[in-house]
Amino acid sequence: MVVNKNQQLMFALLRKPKIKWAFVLLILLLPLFSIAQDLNKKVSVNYVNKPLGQVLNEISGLGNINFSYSPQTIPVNKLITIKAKNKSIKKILDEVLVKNGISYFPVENQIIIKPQKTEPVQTNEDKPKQKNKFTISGYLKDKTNGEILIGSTVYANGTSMGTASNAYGYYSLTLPEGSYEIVYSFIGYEKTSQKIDLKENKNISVEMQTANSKINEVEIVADTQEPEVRNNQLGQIKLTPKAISQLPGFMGDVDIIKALQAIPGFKTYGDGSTMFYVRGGNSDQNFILIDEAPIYNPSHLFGFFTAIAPDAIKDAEVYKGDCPASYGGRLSSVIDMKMKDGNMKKFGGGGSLGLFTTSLTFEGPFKKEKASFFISMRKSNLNWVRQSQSLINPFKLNFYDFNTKFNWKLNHNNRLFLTLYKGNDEIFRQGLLLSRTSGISWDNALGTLRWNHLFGNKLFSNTTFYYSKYNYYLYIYKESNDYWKSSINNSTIKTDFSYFPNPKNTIRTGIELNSHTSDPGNLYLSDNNLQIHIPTIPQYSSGEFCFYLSNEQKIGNKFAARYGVRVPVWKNKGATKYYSFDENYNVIDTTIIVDKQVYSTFKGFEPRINLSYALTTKSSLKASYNRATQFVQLLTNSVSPFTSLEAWAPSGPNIKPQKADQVALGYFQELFKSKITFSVEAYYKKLYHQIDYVDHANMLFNPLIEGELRFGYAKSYGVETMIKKTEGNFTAWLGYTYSRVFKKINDVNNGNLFPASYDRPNDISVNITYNTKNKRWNFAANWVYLTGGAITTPVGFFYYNGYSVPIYGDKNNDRLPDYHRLDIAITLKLNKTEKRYQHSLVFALYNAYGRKNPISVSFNKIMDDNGNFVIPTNVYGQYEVVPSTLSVAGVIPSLTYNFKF
Amino acid sequence: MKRKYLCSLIIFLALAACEKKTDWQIQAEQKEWVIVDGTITDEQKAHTIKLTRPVTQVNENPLPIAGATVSISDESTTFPLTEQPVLSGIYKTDSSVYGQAGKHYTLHISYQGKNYTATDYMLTSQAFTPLHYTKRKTETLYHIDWVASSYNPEYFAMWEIVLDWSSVAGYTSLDPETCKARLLYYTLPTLDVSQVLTADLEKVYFPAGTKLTQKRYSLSPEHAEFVRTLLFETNWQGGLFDSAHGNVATNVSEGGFGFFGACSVATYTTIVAP
Repeated sequence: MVVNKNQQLMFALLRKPKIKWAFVLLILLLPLFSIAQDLNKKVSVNYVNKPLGQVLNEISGLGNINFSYSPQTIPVNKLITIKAKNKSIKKILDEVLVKNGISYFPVENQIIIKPQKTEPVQTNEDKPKQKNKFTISGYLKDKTNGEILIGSTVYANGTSMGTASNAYGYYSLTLPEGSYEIVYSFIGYEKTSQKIDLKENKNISVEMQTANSKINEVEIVADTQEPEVRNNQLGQIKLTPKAISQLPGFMGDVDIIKALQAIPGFKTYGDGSTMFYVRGGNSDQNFILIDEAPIYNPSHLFGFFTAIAPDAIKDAEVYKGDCPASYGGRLSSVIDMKMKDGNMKKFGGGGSLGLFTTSLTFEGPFKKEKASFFISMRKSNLNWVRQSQSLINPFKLNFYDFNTKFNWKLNHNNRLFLTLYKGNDEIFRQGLLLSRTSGISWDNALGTLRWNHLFGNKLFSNTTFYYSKYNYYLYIYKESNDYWKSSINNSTIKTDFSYFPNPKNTIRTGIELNSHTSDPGNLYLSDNNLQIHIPTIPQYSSGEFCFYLSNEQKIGNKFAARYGVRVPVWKNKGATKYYSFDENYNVIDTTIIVDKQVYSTFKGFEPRINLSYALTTKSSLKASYNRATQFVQLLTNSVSPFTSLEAWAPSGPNIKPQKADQVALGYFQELFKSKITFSVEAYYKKLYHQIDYVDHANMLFNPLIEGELRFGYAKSYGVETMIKKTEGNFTAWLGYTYSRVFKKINDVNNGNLFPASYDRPNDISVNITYNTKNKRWNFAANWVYLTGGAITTPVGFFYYNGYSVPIYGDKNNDRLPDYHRLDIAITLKLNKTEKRYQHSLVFALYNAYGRKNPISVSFNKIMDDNGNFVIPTNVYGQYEVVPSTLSVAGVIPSLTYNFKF
Repeated sequence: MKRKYLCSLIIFLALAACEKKTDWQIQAEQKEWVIVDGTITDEQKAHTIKLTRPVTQVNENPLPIAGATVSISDESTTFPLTEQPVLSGIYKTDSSVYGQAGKHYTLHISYQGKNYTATDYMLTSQAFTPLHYTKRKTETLYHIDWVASSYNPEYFAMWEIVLDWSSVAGYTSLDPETCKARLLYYTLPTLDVSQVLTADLEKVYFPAGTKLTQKRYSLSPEHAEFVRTLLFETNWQGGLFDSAHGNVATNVSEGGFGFFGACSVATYTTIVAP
């Protein structure tokens, strides 16, 4: 690559921290200078006898403004004549609209246009009645299957008053007495409205129709297709199955966690792995929830597949650390997945048959509109891989998952949901000696029971009880049932309240009681003579109480704030014993704790604030501050991208709770009539009490495991940019992130700062999809690029007893080669969309150009007579070490048949 | 048949050539360390200590540390070592020397004005069950089937298996050096993930008639920990489940590396029966 002197100078300047931050600020501020799109923008027009509809359309283009009106109520065919030179849009609209008896006013991010006569009647007679306020409330649902719609927008047309449906599809909007047109909108659904005469509290549940191609083309609507600009929450991403389904899947399976790779701020490890890192946080700092219950290991088959079948997911909300006060317990991200409730109207099903997995789903009503079920099953088809005669494959690979959900509408005020999930993995490998099999196995199980209750129109409550359990097994010899096992389980009861006192405020509060039990790992051997010598590692038992309170407040038409606080209290209790260590990590004391005795308590205080300011109808500026505390952590010194050791431990006398402070600033802009959105976010995050490990830490059945830990801090910063086009047959996005993360840990790397293994400064993702006009063919491609991960490579070698032994210098002194990969997928719908039985074929190529992305580099192997890289075992005489890189995925083609009925 | 070809093609595309040779340029740092490689045992023989420098490139021959003054002492006696041959960096005791279980042994090295020491404790020898070997399914060659449990919380050991088939009919015309193998196995008080799920190992086969010598070297806890960290960086790396890298443990003072061990030895010798 040729770099000229100017570029060299620029790179050199960017290496200086102050200049780098100035550059970041410049990027953030640049868009502000270009904002001139409001009603004061001066334009020139010359229309002679032009229909009003066309005039508005052209002014919309000139001013980059969205108008919202109904062609049925506005005389769009009225001929307009106006000549204006260098006049503000406001003056032109006054001329065109007001003089013709039409009013206009900005609401949220659009200009509402309506006849003056349809405005709420506010005569002198009515004025005293304005003091009376009434509430409209209800549920928003999908018309075809009755699934509740989360985050739908509800507003009174012509006013600035609106709200959004909560996680259970419930909304509540309190307005002064009067006549209104209530508008309901949601991504991917046709906007619907209802005229009401509000003289009393009303219950209005609305069923919304999925958007199709017959949308009124005359209507000029600033729809909620692009939530980033209008969404008050910074760092929040909403993933719908439709959006995810357009991404090329791995081995034919579209994967919600792998889809995160395309979002700036998320960095996945690489091929096959479900590990991901958000804004400098470690992989165990991500909270993955299924209907509110945590899943501790979201991976199948090392990590090649995500543990949750894509068919079962209705909606996922993702937060990059800026999460609302109702979420807590992890420092870096929340992935809140909601499972499908089940079709309330009719029976249906679907599934897929692929080379690697088979899945089936069934859903339907127990009692129409009252109770429904959803069942999803997925199983791996990997035995044929093992039976293939072309290659010797010593692995035995199997996984399955099972999801089911039931929901009952008891009455208008009460509804119950029951969710059950179970997933299991087995990865075994036969050794050189066929009688010995070693391997790993894990299973996740969780259940959630939720009760929605309405206290009148303004107060919604949800009470949840959930249980989640995770077991991890490392089989040393499966035949003799010798294994190491760790586990964690968590049972929780919590109640959340949403209170809608008025359209300007939504107050949320809740309390939570958690019970955690974890086994950091014990060894079980079939040989009793050995078993009696093996130390027993005591289990951890902890309780947590948590309270939160937050408010979402709209201040005027442009400013919105979400602020709140979360207060967790953590207690560790017996029976157990813990060790105290001196400064050299030698045990100096052992404390025996009796049953239920509390031996350590931690309190957290987590203020959170998120501010949003609408600069124009098309742009907004957002800022946030967030503090989070984490009381449970994964202890592992593995550098593998795959599940290899899973031991969870709570904070306690030797492990202080992890904490993180994050500040973020974002700018969001819609361009070209909202067809394109641009966003840039910058963040700085500091993480305290971060964990690392002494060299060659002994993590398996070590009673003194806490003495193997070392502590320090991490800091990360970055700029995330994204530009995307989400309308039309051709959609695309481009994301670029520059970010860094460093750690400083006592007694690691001589106490000096070092880059984390997931420090990957440059991250690019490109996604392109194209649907043919007849919607039968869909072409999708995505390309990702990441700077190679930081690794530790030798700085020299010495020889000992026939071994070539590496010597290391600084930690993470080197980097793997840059990672990049292209995936493509082609979908062919085999039937017309209106048919009940729908089926399609998906051909996908993972890593289409066969890039070998190494996950490790080795300096300890030789090449045997068959050309295989092996560890030398014959240490007689000399052997020649051949440095090698290991990558895990070449080109992976897949063909999947999907069906739905 | 078509299905089989399809499967083979997909497997080949997905998994073939996952590991490949690299000309990785390491960020070499020249270290002036003294590397100690040697053991005193309870066998009566010339015990050897090898002193070398580290190298900066893989497969590079290490420079010997010649001209050092080296001795081994127990609580009462000091055994001097002499460099044989001169300038080789290999130092040997008199052939009448033997260690005794229950004693601490200290290695003393004086080199370029610095004094290095390393101490280890010799544990008593343990009787053992001999290894198993098995005939390879489709051929006439044998391989080691089982040596010892890799885990024992009380007794730790290094197992040295020396195989010599240079005198077996059919192999006598070959270079004798190509008809020998030395394999090392360990019994340690710990288990690690990368130990259980290791990368592929070199397979060593031998014919009937091979002379097989199995030696059990007792390891002190410090010696076992050194071995564990050594294996972490050698035999247990390079698989799908690697652990974080780090420098291996040592008992050599003054910034030296390697390990000086004191081991009692038990031996079993046999001829591989057809």
